[in-house]
Amino acid sequence: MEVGASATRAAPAPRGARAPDGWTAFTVVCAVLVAGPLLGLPIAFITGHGDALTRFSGLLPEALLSTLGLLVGVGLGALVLGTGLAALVSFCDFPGRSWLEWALVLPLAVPGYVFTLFALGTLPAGGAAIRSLIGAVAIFTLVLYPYVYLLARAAFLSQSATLFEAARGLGLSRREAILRVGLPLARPAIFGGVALALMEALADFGTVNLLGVHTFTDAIYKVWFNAFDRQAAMQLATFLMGITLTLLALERLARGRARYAAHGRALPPIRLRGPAAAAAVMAPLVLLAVVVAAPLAQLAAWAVDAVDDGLLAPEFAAAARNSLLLALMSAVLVGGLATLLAYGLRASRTRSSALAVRAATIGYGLPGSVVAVAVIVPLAWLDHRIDDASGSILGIDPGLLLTGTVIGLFCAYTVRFLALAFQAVEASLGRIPDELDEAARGLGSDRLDVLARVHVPLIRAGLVTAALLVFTEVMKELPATMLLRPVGGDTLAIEVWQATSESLYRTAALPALLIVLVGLVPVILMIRLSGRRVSEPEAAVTAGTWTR
Amino acid sequence: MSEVRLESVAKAFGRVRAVDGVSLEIGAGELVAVLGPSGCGKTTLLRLIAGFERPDAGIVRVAEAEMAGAGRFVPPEKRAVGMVFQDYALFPHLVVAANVAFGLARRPKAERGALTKRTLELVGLQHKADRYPHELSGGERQRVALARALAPEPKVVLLDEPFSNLDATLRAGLRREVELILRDAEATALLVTHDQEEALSLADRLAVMNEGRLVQVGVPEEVYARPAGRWAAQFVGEVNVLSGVARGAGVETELGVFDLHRPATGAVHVAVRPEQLELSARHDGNAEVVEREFRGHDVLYRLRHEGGRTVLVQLPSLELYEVGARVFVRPAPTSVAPLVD
Repeated sequence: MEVGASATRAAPAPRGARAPDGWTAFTVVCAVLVAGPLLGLPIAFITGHGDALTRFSGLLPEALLSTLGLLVGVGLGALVLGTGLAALVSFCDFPGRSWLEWALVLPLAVPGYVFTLFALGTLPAGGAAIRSLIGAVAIFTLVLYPYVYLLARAAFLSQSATLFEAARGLGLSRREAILRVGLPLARPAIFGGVALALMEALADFGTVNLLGVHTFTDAIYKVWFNAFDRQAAMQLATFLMGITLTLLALERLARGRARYAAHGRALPPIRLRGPAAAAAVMAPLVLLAVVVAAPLAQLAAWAVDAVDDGLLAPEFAAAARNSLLLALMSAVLVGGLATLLAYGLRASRTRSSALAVRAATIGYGLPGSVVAVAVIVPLAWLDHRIDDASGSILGIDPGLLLTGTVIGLFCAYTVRFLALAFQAVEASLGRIPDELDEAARGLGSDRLDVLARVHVPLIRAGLVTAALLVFTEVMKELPATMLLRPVGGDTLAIEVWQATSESLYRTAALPALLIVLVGLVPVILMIRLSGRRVSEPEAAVTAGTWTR
Repeated sequence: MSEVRLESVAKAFGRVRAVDGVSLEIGAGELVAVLGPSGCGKTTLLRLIAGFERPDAGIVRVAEAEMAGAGRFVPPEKRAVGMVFQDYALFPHLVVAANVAFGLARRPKAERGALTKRTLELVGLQHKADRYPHELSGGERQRVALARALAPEPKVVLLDEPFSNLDATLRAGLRREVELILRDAEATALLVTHDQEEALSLADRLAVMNEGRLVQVGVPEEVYARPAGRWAAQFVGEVNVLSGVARGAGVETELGVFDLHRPATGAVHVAVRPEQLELSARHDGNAEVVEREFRGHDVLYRLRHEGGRTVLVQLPSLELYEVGARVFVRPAPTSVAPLVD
C-alpha cells in the first residue's frame, strides 16, 4: 500500500485551508442540537435566580442521601450477584449450564417498575416490607445484575488457561487461582458493568417513586409537577447529571484499562457433581423464577382477571397505541439520525466531525428526567418566540407547538437514545471497506446515493438492531415521557406507574406484561447474536463475500 | 487531444510529499503505466485523478475540463473516471450484472440493459451475470471490476495494481486479456504498478516514478534502452552502470568500447544492460563466473571482473558456462545511453 493512501485512511490529516464539507457541518449541527441543551443545564444553574435552592433545600439532603445510598447498595449488590453468577458459569460445569448461561440475561427485559408492581402486589401488607431504600436496592440488584454478569463473563471467558496453569504451578489451588488471578484480571470489566447498572438505577423514576424513596429523579418530578418550578428542577437535574457523568467517566476509565492480553486456549471448567451441582443449578433457577418467571405468571394471571372483570383502564387502548406509535416513530427517527451521523463521520473524516459525534452521543446513560428538563428549556423559549411571532404577524395563536406536543418527547428520546442507535450502526458500518465507497463514487454515485445503494443494504442487520433497541427503550421509558407527554399522551409505561401507585395491580398487569414481552425481543436477539459472535452478513462483508 | 492532463500536481500527507510536482499527459486511447516502487506516490497520483484526494497545488484535467485546480474541485462522481481497485471492491450484495450496471443508474432502462450486456460480453462473463462476487474466481472478479469501470464509458480508466492479487501463473494470461479488453473498448487507461515486466509488456508509454516525482516518461523500449538516470536504469530491469570516457560516438569503459546513442565527450556513466554484453570461454579471460541463474529461455550470469566489480551478463541458454569458469566479457554490437546523473 502506498504511503499516501494509508495516511489518509489512518488519520484525518489536516487538509489545509478548506471550506468545511456538508457532512462535517451536518454532524456539528447534530451535536449542537443534541448536546446543546445538556450543556445549557449547568449554565442555567449558574445564571438562574439563586433562591430556588433554598426553597427546596428541604428536598436536597434527602435526595442526596437516598441517591448515594442507592448507588452504594446497588453497586455492592450487582457486583456480588453479577460476578458470582459469571464466575459460576465460566469456571464450573454442571447440568444445564449452557442453557442457564444465557437465561441469566433475561432479567434485563424486566424494568424496575414492573418488578416493583409485582412485588407490591404479591407481598403481604401492600409490600410494606420493601417500601424503603433497602427494598429499592434489592429490586435494582435483581433486575440490573445482568450488566455486571455479561461483562464479567466475557472477561472470564477471554482469559487464557496458561495463566491459571502458571498460578497452579506456583502452588495455588484452583479456587485460589480464580480468586487471585481470574478476578483481578476481570476487574476493569466488572467495574464497567457496575457503572452501567448504577447509571440505570440513577435513571429510574418508577421504582423509587412507587417505593417512596426520595432520590433526585423523584425530587425533580415533585418540583416539576407539584411546584411547577422549572428553575429548581434544572438545578436538581444538574446535580443528577454531575453524578451520572462522574459514573460515565469511571466506566470509560475502567474500560480503557481493560486489556485482555491473553487470548489462548480457554480454561477447562471444573465439573461439579452431587450436591454442588444441584446447588449450582438451583441457585440461578430460583433467581430466574423470582425475577422472570413469577412476575410473568402473576402479571398474566392479573391481566386475565382484569380483562374478565373489566378492570382495564379506559385509556388502555389509547395508551397502547401511543406507546406503539411513539416507539415506532422514535425507532425510525433516531435510527435514521444515527445512520446519517455515523455515515457523516465516515464521509467527512474530519477532526471536527469526530468531536461532534462524541458530543452528540453524550446523552447516553443520562437519566430521562435530566434530558427532559434539559430539552424543555430551549423548546419553551422557541415556543414563546413562535407564539409571539405568529400572534403579531398572522394574528393566530398556535399554542405551545413544541412543548405541548410529541415533538418535545421526540427531542428527549433523540438526546437519550441516539448513542445507543449510533453504536449499533457504527459497528456494522465500520466493517465496510472504504474502497466500496470510492468504487461507487467513481461510478457516479454521490454520498447519499452511496449510502442508499451500498451501505444500507450491507448494514441491514445493524440498522434493524439499532431500531429495535430504540423501540424497546422508548416502550419502557418512564421519567422523560412523564415530564414531557402532551395532554392525553399516556403510554403503557405511564399506565403501569399510575395504576401501581393507586394499588390497582390488576389494571397495571396487562400494560406491564406487554412492556416485558417487547423488552424480551432485543435480549433474545442479543443472545442469538452472541452465540454466533459476529452476525453472518457482517462477517461476509469483512471477508469480501456475501451470502444470502 | 489529451484525455488526462496533469500540470505540476502536488500532494503531501503531513511531511511526506506523496506527489511532488507531476506533469503528465495521456492521449485518447492510450495505455500508460506508472511504474515505481511501493510508497513512491503512484497510487496517490491515481487517487488525485479519480478525485479521492485534493491536490495541494497544480491542475488536474480530464478531457480538457478542469477537475481540480486553484479553488476548484469536481467530486469523483462527476468526473467520468472509471477505477479498478487493487482488491476489486466489488459490491458483495449485488450480482455480477448489478455490479456492472451500478454506474448506469441514470441511463434509460433499455440502454442500461444493453450496455450491461455488451460490457459483460466484452469481458466474457455473460454466463456469470447472476453470480455473486464471492462465487467467482480471482480472475473473474477482476474482469467484473474492469467491466464495472468500463460500462459507463468513462473518459479514462484507472487501474491500481490490477494484477497484484492474482497468482503468478494467472498473471501473464490475464495481463494480455485485460490489455485486449481495454483496446477493444478503445479505452484510455492509466495503470499503476510496481512490476516492471507488467509495465513494459502492457503499456504504450511508461512513466517511471520515484519519491513523488516522474523520473522518466517514454515508450517502453526507450525507457529500457535509454534510461534517463541511474535510478531509472536500475529500477527498470537489470543493469551494469559503468563509468567511462566518451569520445564523440563511442565511450571507453573497463569492459571495452561501446557505441553511444548520442555523441558525448568527457567522463560519463553509461547503463549497459546484461544482454548488451557477450561472453566467450577463455583461459586468459578477464572475468570469472560467480553465479548462474537459469531462466529457461535465457541465463543470467554474475561475473567477477578482473577489476573487482560485479558484471551481469544475460545470454540465450544455448551455450552454458559453469560457475568458476574463466570467461572473456566484451561489448555486444549495440549502443548504450549516457546517464544524466
